Amino acid sequence: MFTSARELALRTLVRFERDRPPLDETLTRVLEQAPELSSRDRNLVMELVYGTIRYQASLDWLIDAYSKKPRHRLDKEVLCGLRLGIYQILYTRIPDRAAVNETVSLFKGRPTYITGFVNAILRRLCREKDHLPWPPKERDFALYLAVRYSYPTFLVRRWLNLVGEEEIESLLAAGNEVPPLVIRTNTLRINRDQLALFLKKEAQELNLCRYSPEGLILRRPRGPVTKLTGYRQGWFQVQDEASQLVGHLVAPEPGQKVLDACAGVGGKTTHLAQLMKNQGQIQAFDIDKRRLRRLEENLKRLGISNVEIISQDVTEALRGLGAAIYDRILIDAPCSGTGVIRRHPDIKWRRRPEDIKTMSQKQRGLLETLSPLLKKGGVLVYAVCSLEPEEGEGLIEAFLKGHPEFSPISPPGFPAPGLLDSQGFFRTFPHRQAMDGFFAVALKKT
Amino acid sequence: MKSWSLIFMGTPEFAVPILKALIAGPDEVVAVVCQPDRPRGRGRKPSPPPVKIVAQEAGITVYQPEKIRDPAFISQLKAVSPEAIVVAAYGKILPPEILKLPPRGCINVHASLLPKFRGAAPINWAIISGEEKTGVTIMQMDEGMDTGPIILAREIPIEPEETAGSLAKRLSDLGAELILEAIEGLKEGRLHPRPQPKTGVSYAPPLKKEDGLADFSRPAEELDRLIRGFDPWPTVYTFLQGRRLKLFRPRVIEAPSQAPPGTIVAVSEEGITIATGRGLLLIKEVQLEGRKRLPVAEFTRGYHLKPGMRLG
Repeated sequence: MFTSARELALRTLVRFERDRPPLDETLTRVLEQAPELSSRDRNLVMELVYGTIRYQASLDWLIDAYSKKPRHRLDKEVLCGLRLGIYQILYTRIPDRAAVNETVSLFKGRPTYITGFVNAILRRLCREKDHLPWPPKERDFALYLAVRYSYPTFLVRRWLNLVGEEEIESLLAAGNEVPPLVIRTNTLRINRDQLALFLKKEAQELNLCRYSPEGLILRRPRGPVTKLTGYRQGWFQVQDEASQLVGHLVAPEPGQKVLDACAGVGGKTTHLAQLMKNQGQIQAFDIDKRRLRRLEENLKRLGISNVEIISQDVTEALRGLGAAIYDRILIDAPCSGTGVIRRHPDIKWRRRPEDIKTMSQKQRGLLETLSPLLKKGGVLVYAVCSLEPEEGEGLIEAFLKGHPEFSPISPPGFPAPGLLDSQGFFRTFPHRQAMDGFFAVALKKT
Repeated sequence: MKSWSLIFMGTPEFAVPILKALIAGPDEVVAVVCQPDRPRGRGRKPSPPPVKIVAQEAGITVYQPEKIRDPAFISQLKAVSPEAIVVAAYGKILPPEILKLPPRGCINVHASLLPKFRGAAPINWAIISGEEKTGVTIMQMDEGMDTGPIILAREIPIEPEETAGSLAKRLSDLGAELILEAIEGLKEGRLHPRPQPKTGVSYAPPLKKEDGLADFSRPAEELDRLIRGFDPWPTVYTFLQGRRLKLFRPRVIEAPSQAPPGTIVAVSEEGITIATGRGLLLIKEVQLEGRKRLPVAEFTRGYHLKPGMRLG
């Protein structure tokens, strides 16, 4: 049976609304189940789903303003349908009439009070598009920002403290932008200039990364990344520039023994292997078997053979090891993810204020358990894709107080010394450097 | 064939058959290294580790450094200048200075099929994880924890009622056989260390006493494996009328039970039957705090156990 792009988008949104599964995986699965879809329609599904979730708080504010029935009592499908319709009217170039008709037709076969209700709200919104009932800026600035830029209020308040009133709007806006595709050249197979030549025809725009010597930025690539020239041949790996720079902070050398404590799908793991010229040994731990399967695929595709995959909790497995055996340790710690909201808008609706404290306790635990395993003279790199100081600067300052044997360094040859502050902390923001928001630090043990 | 001069490093009972085999074998054990005497047993008096007793009986010099990196100790090893060092459950990771010291390197007897169950408690974890087989691997040591290339490995099945204690005994006998074969093979140039596979890696961290608290809401088969994997140490325990009760010799009984987990549903000559989260668990031996380990039949003569009592 043929399914339309909007139907698939709605199905994905309802699924997300119901049990908040990880958005990127859900979408991948939904698209796999509809192989008949043209690539244009696939792109439309992605845009509709990501866009609607990005702007969910704004959309809900308007639904609240126009619907007499309280939002929590709306049928989930109707709620998601309204969001999808309003998103198209306000944030895409789809003509209003098409947006309304297509959305209403998603409810074909349902009782007329439903189609009527959806139709009425969407039409009224089209009419009042230019004077929508947004909350006034002056009364409660944080609420205004949370609604207009679509973020949970607690995050807006936190970030107001973090960057101040001048920068807050550009930070929030940057989190809503569609990020470019950033890849890392697999220098085990090809050099960046060669790869750029091959990929030139495959994206509307292609640029070299400013700092990372292996990075390329692609805007509007034609088709999914797995179909690009060289993907199958293992010429590159998808990885944001900030994350590539973390690899350069670790700066492992061929022949060393490296612990990658939370490897995930292996963006950084494979980068380390590449910097080590595929010599020496990397032990890659993670508890998520699904992510490790993707790491295994990536290793195979990229032609990397010096990585050992271990699907255990690293702190459990290495408990009681009591010996300093690693030359490098990378702790790419599980975190709130507030630095990668532009890539994973679902993070906004997943986080609770108390998460940041729990995360930071776990991160401290990882540091305390793993730091003794580093050899004297070795380097431990701690990184998080979070903007929150409790998971970054604050955490490391506290750790350093209790561990005078560690001090931050700027590794020789690090390609972005300008992104290190006076304390040696690496910090990026999506609105300042147009990269994912990362905190990282390289600590040398003496 | 020229015989090698060997240093042996090992500490507990597991290392004893291996040391004995080396002493009886064609090569010469010139020194033994083990952990210092530590308080053991009921009197908490410092007593020598099992390996030390065997070494002294054989008239071999014993070193017991507090710190393995102690420069004085390392220069003693250098003075002995062994052909190879054989390590079996020594209890500490060796520093690079020692690994590089003998020309043939350090050879480790490890009680699992590497790369599975690297680390301190491979025998226990093989049982707890419900493996059907395990084995011994002879490995050329490197700086990691049990990550070095494999010289020789042999597997044995894990028996249904196997405990960590009984399995350790069988594996150390197998290790004794295998270490002689490995050294001979290395001398003749027949055996060549090959890197461990990159997949199937797992770690077997040391057991913690507190992990031994029985959670009867778990399935019976899981509890069964845990009890056997924790026997003789650190043991699985529960509480009987406020007193600590250690559980031994379990068997899974495939039968549904309506009773809440932890309830004693039957008491017989054979043992007590306890309801769990899934299935029933028969326990044939117990030990109440401050008392001896006894078969349930004997235990119930002094301590009245009735169906309906709750454990935990």
